[in-house]
Amino acid sequence: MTTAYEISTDPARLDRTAIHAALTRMYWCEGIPRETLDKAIDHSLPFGVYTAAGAQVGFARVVTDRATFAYLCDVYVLESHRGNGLSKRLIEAITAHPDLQGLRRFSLVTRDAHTLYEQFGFSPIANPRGHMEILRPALYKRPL
Amino acid sequence: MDAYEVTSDPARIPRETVHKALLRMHSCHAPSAEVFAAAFVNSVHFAVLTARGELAAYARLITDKATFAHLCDVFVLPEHRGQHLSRKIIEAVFAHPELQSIRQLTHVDNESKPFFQHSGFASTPIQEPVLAILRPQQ
Repeated sequence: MTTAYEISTDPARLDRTAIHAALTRMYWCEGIPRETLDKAIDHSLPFGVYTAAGAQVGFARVVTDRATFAYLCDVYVLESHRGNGLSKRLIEAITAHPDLQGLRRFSLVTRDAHTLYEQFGFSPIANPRGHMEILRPALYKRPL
Repeated sequence: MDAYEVTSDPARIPRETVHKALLRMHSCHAPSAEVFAAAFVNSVHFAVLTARGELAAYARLITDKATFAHLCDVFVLPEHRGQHLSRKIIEAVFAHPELQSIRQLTHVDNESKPFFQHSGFASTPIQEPVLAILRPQQ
């Protein structure tokens, strides 16, 4: 059990090169351009997970108006640091953040981490027909 | 009457009028004035104004201006309906220079669904793993 990790919302501490290197491999934003990610982070509430030495080993960001709505995305913990309860600590820090209280809607999309999020009160959408989206899944993938 | 104009300039948008309209039209979903004032500062707005600068229609986006946007608080005031103002708003959303790299645009609303389907929205497929904490009364 290690407790030497730290979670911070300080944008100045983010290692954006490391975050981009990790996220560009993820299925949900494969190939995302660095400048698109930078702009997204600039307009989000970011959460970084760091080792005692300050290395970025996890990340998440929340797109929010800090009053009624939040969307949680780009959540990851590097494989070499999994098994330390970091994703749980990360979601704990996010759901406890003072700017994310009393929201009308807090949503996210996940392929396989339902168990993690359900611990924090997230549940599948009751009425999917009322949810609409324009989704361009391949927008960041480079042509072959 | 083609004298309507769409603006995203918060200084030109009458926040209190918007909030009162939300209370009238979406009473159970409308935030308090205080909460709406906080949300207003951190949103991108699309308001349709008359030539005299009066509010005719409105929509709000919560967005990172890069990958994601959520559209909410959409309305057209009753006296301005039938003039395709909601379409005008959606066109302005799609044309906004800061929203061109958005990968996912979401919206939740049963009532305005036929309109949004015409604008390129599709219902989230039921098997899509979307999770949400929803507090409609807040």
